[in-house]
Order: sequence, then C-alpha cells, then structure tokens
Amino acid sequence: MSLRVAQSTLSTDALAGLQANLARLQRTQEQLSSGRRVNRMSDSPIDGATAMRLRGEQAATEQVGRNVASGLSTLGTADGAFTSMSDMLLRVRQLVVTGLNDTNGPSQRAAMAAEVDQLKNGLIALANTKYLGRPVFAGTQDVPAAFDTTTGQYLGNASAVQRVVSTDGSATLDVTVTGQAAFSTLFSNGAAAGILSRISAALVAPGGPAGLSAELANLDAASATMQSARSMVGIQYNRLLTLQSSGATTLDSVTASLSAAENIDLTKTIMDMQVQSTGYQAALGASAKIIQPSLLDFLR
Amino acid sequence: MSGLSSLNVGSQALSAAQRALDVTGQNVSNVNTDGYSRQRVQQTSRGSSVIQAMWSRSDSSTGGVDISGVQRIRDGFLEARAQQEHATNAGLGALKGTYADLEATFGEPSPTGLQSQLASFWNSWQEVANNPGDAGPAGVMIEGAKSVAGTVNRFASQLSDQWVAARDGMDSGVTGLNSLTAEVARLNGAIRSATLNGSSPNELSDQRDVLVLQIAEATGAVATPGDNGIVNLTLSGRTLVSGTHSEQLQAQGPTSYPAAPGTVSLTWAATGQPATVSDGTLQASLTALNVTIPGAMTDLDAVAAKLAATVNAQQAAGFDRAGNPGTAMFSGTTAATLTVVLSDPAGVAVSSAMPPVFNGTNAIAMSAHANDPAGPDTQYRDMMVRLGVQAQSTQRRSDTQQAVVARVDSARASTSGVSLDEEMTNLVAFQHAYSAAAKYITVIDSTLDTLINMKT
Repeated sequence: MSLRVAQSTLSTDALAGLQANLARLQRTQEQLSSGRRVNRMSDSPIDGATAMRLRGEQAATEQVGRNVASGLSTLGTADGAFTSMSDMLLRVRQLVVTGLNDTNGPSQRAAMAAEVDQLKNGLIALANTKYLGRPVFAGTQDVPAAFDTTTGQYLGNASAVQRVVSTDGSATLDVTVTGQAAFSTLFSNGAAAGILSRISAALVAPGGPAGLSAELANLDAASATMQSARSMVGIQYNRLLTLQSSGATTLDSVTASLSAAENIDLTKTIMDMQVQSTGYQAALGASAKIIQPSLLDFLR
Repeated sequence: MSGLSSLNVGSQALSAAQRALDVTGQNVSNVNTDGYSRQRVQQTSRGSSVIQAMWSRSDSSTGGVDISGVQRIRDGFLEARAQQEHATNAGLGALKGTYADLEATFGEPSPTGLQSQLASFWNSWQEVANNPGDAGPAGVMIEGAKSVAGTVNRFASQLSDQWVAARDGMDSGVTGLNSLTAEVARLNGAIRSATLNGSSPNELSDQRDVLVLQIAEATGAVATPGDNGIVNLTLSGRTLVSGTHSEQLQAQGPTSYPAAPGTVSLTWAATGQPATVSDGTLQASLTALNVTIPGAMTDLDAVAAKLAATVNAQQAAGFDRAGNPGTAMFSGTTAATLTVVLSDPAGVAVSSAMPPVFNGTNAIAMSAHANDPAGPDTQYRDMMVRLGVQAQSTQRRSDTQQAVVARVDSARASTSGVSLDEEMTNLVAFQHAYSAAAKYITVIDSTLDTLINMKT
C-alpha cells in the first residue's frame, strides 16, 4: 500500500522511538548504578541461577576457611602443649638417670621424687590444655579435663575431633590426636599407676632404685609415642595450611566466576551508555526537526 | 439554460466549497483528537435532467454540484485487526506486570536474598560443629533460622497482598467494562437515530469506536458492524452488546487468599453462566489469580515444607547437650506458617552420639543438606529459574506484541489520521474553488446586466 503519512503517524513513531531509546538508557543506568548485569532473574535466568549457586559456593568456601582457621588454632594449641611437655619429660629422664646412680642418698632421692611428682602435675595440667573451653586431648568426650588431676586416668575417648574441609560438607579432616594415643600409660595404666607415678615410687623405694632402669625404658617408649603424636599434629597442621592457601585461591576463583556471571563490564557499560545517550539526543533532535514544520509554515 | 439557472449553479458551487472548507476546518481542529477519523465531503456533479424526454431535451450538462455526504475515512479490516492486537498487547502487558511484582518480591539474585540466608544458615551449622557445646555459635545459628523463616513468611504475605490487589483490580476492571458496554449500547442508539434522520453520525461513531477498542483491550471481544452504523460485540460467541442492549459481567470466586478454596471466574450477571474472556487484561488477571500467583505460592510452600522436614529429621537424628534426641526446630509446613520453635541453644542436636561423647558430627551432617539434590536450596533455585524463564518469555512476547501494535496503529493512522499538509493543500484548493465560483457569479451578473441594460 502506498503509505500516507499523517501528522499523528509521525508523532507516534517519534514517541515510540524515543521511548525505546529511553528504556535502553534506563536499563544501562540501572546496571551502572547497581554494578550488576543481572538485577532480576528474567534479565538472564541462566546467569541468575549460576549467580545463586556461586553465591552459595562462595559462602561455603568462606566457611571452610573459618573451619580451617579454627582447626589450625586447635592444632597450634596442642603443639604448644607438646613443646612444653617434651622439655618436662626430658627433665624427668634426667632425674631418672641421676636416680639410678648409687651415689645419691635417700634424702636426695626423696627430693627427686618430689620433683617428679611436681613434673607429673605439670604434665597433666598441660595434657588438660583447653581450646575455647574444650580440652584438646579429650577426643569428642564432653568432659572438663582430659585427665583426672589426681588419679591421672584418661577421661576422654578415642574419637578424633573433625573439621569440614570441603564446600559440599563431605570431606573432613581430624584436627586432634587423642590423649590415649599421645600419652599412653604416662599418667595411669587403666586403674593402676602410670609410668611417672611408678618412677616417683621407685625413687623412694626402701630397697634402692632397682625398678628405675625398667621404668627408664618405659619412659623412653612413652616419649617416642608422644613425639610421633606430635609429628602427627604437625602433619595435620601442614595439611590444613595447604588447604588454607588453596582455599584462598578457590575463593578468588569463585568470586571471579560470580562476578563474571552477574557483574557488569564497567568499560563496556559506560561505552554503551555513551552510545545510547548520543543516540537518544540524536533522536530528540531529529524529532524536534521533523515534527515541527508543516505546509502551514510555508503558506502565506 | 437560462441566465438565472447559471446563477443557481454558481450558488451550488459556493456552498459546496464552503462545506468542504468547513470539513477541512473540522479535520484540522481534531488533528490530535483520540480516535478521530478524517472526513471528506463527497461531491457529485449534477447533470441537467436524469431522464431525457422526446420533446423536452437539454443538450447541456451544466447542472452544478451536489454534496452527497460527509464520509468517515476508515479501514474496517485494520480496525478489527487493531482490536485483536491491542487485546493481546494489553493482556501481555498485565501479565508482565504480575511477573515483575513476583520478581520484586523474591529479589533474587542478591547478596541478601533467601538463597544467601539459607547458605549462611547451613554454614552456621559448621560453626556450631567447630565449637560443640558453645552456646554462642548455636545462638547465631538459631537467629539465622529465624531470619530464614521470617523471609519465607514475608514472601508469603507479599504474595497474598499481590493476589488481593489483583482481585480488587479484577473487580474494578469488571465494573469499568460494564459501564463501557452500556455506553457503547447508548451510542449505538444515538448513531442509529442520526443515520435514520440523515444527519452525520461520524463523531458519535468515532467516540463509540474508542470505547469498543477499550472493551477489546479488557476482554478480547470481537466487534461486528450492524445495520444503520451500529456495532455488535460478542465475547467468545456470546452477545456482549447487541444494538442498544448490553449484557453485564460479574466476577465470581474467593476474595481473600489463601483462605477460600476455588478459582476466580467471570459470569454473565443475567444468567449466572460462565463467561469466557479470550484475551485482554481481564484474562491476564484471571491467569494471575488462578495460575501465576498460586503457582508461586505452591512452590514456596514446597520449599518451606522441605526445609522444615530436612532440618527436623536431622535434629531428631542427633542428641542435644543434655543427651536427649533433638526436638523439632521448625513448625509449620507452609510458607505462611513456617516458625522457629527451638529457642534454647542447648537444645540444638549437635552430637551424633549420647553423652559423655559430644561431637559435632550431627551438625556437620546438617550443614551438608545445603547440597541435597532435592533439598530446599535446590527447590528454591529451580523455582527462581522457572520464574525467571516465564518472566523473560512474557517480556519478550510483550515486546514483540508492542511492535505489532505500533505497526497496526501506524497503518490505521496512515488511513484515518489527519495530515496537516494534506488539509492545507485542500484548504488552498477549496479556497480557489470558492474564489472561482464567486468570480463565475460576477461574470454571470455582468452578463445579465449587459442583457438587461441592452438598448433596443
């Protein structure tokens, strides 16, 4: 059909064009001011779903970071306790070796026994070291202390405390060694007396320090067990450290993916806005020029 | 042919030009009037006499000019097309609004939406597991649960509000429609009288057609022209307006949500029979009231029920500080009724074993539910994706339909719209015609003068 152009056609078309221009500008402006490309699900359902999933992933990764930090602190506390305990066990060994010499009289031995008792109390206190109110060597047992301070009996259990180290919550790492594994029979042997108590008793035995040499071997064995527990803590600490650094990398990449899914490319968006705003001004100018004149302006 | 009849021809030419100038003036006055169709004077040349007789003949054909009517220039096909397209456009526009409201309610994706709150709720269980027996993290976790429940409750009440607002809109839409149909019937009567009288009903017809377009936008009603300029309207084959008679519609069904069961529907007021609207805003309202909003509510209810069931089951699988199996954390199985009933941090089932063991294993198992393939998080995400896809497709259809409507409107305007250039050209033409007719009369006058003052 031969198109007849009426004044209302012109103004309607001009208005529709201006509206479309303005709508594009508004969208760009919304993206610029919010900094996000996906402001509602319908902007891009796929990217929206990805963003929702990645935001969950981001939160989970941050939580794993907190879990790892908490595990590192627990292990650090245990390692600190082990350091002091090694020194104290060394001192006990010195006393035992000295006590084996026949040159010492009963009063000197009694003094040594008293020192061993003090060291035992100190060692039990260290074995009861707490992190945030929970004894670190008691496993998962809900007890105020890992070892009974008077009998030296183990009050904890053999289950290790765990931390979640994967974002889906499936992988866990042990973050303790239990008191039983670390100190074996140092403080008590079931209901019977432990190595330290036996050393103290042997030192003051009326028949001389005959039993001490056997206890020396036991003490060395217990020290070795503790050292291996300590290296276990070191290994766990190292694994967590590795996880911490890889967790930071994961968090970076998840954040980057989230940003790619929903954030704007600032340069591109600003360029878009410039182009759109130029287009809008051109449309305004053209409309003003086209709508205004009619034949009326040229008739006498 | 006599000199005096020549004067008569001149007078007819003058009045024809005068009438054409009047109509041009009317067109120019209404250049911006909504629904106005341009008008044209229909002129026919007049011969001397229609039937020649044997002895009474005239060889001249100078009978002058006749005005046979003023015509409204309008394309019936384009008008019918416009009514259909406008109806679809109005319906899609209303549906788009419904989806925009839904999206605004949920506000995803955002760092503060329900998805983020759920994620931090699940993560707070790991914090509880890291410090079993510590009331601090457990308290934080319970507050997180309360904020999740509060958000779900708020969604439910906003959906209800949106439903009630749409229902009110439906009522006022039906009231508006009824007054529109009554007005069309009244105008039909006036147009018929005017047509039968022989006077021009053009302006009345324009007014009526604007109303007909509004009715089509509300219901998708189909207009068919009748005798003497009237228009009849039918709604899915049933009469809405027939001549001067109009039928009333009414909205039926529940007025509150989600209290009453049943669906909202339209019925004929006179018979109570169901009325079918095929398109338009009322159809979109019915879709929103019966499908879209209840659908979102059902999805949200499923998320709430799944969340309560998942958390409560895992709670029951573990033991709290006192060694008792964990009690339910949430009560309620719908979005509106989801409530946190566990308030004591010591009641959180952190441990998977009885005292004296108190481990964080059950809390760890709880936090892993964030990744359940059919868990509340996944359900909510799926729901958001569905909503997003539907909203996006509605938006696209609406955009396309807007372009179609713009096309149709432009085609209508190019037929019926007033072009000022054209009117100005006509004005000049009719002005010249008027001058020429006046000149013709002057010439005849002087001819007669010559004749009368002739000396013998």
